[in-house]
Amino acid sequence: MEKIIKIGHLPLKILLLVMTNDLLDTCAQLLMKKGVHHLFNFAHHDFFLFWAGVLIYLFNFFLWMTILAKIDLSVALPLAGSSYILVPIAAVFFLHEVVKPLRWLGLVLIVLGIYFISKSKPSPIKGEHKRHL
Amino acid sequence: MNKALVFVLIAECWITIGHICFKKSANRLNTEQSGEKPWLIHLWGNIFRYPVLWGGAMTMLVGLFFWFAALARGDLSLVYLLGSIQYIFALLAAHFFLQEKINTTKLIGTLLVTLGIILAAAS
Repeated sequence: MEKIIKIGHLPLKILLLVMTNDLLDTCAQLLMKKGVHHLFNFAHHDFFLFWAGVLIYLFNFFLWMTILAKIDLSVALPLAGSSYILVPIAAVFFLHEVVKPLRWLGLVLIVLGIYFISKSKPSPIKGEHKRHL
Repeated sequence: MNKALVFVLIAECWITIGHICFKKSANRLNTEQSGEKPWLIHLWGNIFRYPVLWGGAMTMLVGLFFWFAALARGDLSLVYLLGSIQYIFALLAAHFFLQEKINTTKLIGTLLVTLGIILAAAS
């Protein structure tokens, strides 16, 4: 029988899937932000960046469906919240946005919240059995 | 900023509906899956059989267009953080439509995440 490695109450595979989902979401958001002003301007190179972002976003849908099949929505969504840290960092580096100290403090609270949620026991849905990865 | 906030709120309403539809479809796909067939292959094989899944995809798409509108009107680091409102929407929607339990730990975690994001956005 395959041994399932768990971190808190969640299998490691689920956490890896969520992390991949967050990274892809961050890439998609960056690309979409970069090209959003050239949504239909074929001549501009940002047009391609925007639609590449949309493609990544759509690909992420399948990953998200896989995650949702394994854990509660109310657990999955906050776990995916680590992209709230990745996106501002990426925005500073790649889009040269200014993120003030108070915003970073908010990010610390987010990490704390994610920790609490990952400690939350998954609730079985009536009449259904959750599969393990 | 205000316009960005309005667009984010509208987008997140649609996106939350999409999440609920996806979760309902995922639960149904889960119960119907048999044998050792990998999940994604099972999903692809049955993707046309679920109107709720397509309904979810459509609402997500509508939400995405409002999201583009918000992105066009504010910094990514701000707009993205404003999107945290979906945690409140999702917690309530999952409780009422999916009968997911809201325990104290989940509530504290979600409140902390939301508070953190509000604080960050207020900066």
